[in-house]
Amino acid sequence: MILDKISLIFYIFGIFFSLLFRKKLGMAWILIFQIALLGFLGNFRSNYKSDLLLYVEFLVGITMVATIVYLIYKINIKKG
Amino acid sequence: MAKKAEVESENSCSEITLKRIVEVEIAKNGKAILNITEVNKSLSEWIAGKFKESSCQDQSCLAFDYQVETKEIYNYSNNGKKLTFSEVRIYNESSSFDFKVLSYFAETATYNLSLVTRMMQVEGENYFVTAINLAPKDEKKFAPFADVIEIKSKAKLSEHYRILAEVLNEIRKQDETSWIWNKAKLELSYLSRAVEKNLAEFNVEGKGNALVMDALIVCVVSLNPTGSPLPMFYVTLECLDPRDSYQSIVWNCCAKFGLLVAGCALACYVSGGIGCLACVVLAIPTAGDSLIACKSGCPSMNVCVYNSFWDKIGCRKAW
Repeated sequence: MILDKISLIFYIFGIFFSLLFRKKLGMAWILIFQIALLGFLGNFRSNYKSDLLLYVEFLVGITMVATIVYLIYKINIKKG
Repeated sequence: MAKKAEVESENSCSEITLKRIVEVEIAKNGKAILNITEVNKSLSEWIAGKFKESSCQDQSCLAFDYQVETKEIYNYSNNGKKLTFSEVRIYNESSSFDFKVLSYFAETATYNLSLVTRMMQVEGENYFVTAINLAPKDEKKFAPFADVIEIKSKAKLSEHYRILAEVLNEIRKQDETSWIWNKAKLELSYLSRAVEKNLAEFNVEGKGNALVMDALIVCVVSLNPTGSPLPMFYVTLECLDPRDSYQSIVWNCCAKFGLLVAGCALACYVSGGIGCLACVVLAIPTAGDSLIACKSGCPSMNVCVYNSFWDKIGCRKAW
């Protein structure tokens, strides 16, 4: 249960950082951080089969998609 | 006893079994007369056998240069149901071939259904070739079976669907396919009415056949190497023995890998050296864990390749 809370804190931090760093490099590191979080949650879920954890993984996945879209948008703006 | 049933179910789930071939004649009073042949053999073996009988055994006749033109005639979507009707023209310098495609997708809380009918004209006669795939979201409802239905008598397109619904309703009785074919029947009845109401102009008479099957499509990737308007190939991952929830299998076998690849490619592009290395080092064990979770959620997975009209080119067992 403690680890559950830790993953939630990681997740909130992820959102916080993605709002804090506006520059591309910061966002790229957020992406790496999100991949780490995904790995951590996946490993945790294999030990504790829980639907809630699956939904937490989905949420991380959604923020990853948002980060990817944002980064592509930024790269295209710079190119344009 | 319960244990024995479980073992039997595990054994039978390793591949899709073609249960029956049903020939349908329509009597003068409109009643369907069914001639059912029990097959109970692997669907892929049966399809391979069919190809051996044809003049195109190595499928080399399918490889020629051509252009594809599609024109959407009708499009309707509402409440998780999507119906499209298109005209397709395949042509090259020496020949051309036209046909129509009706595709119907339905997504509900308990299942996904996809249906594709090709309407072709051969020597002045219409032929409807339908492929129906029903994927239940609850793995307990999953039954790895297929049925082939051949309608010998001429019928209008809307009747073609009504007859298929009637046949499925008949063959599902006292059978493992009861739940899945009941759902397919309901969707076919709906489609029959929709065709009658909205596609009256194309509700022509013809002969038809259908392959109705139940496989859990986990992932679809469209490949379009030539940049033509229609994807040339579709590659699907099809789970033959789901042991976990649908969302979990899709997430572990497909979505997570896509995110890892896209995420790392982008992180490498933007941050370069150390960032890229960190990403790859983190992504590899994550992908490994995901693959283990995928295999435990689906111990029997097929990779299938379809052409642009959703004709199955072939399947290979991934594990």
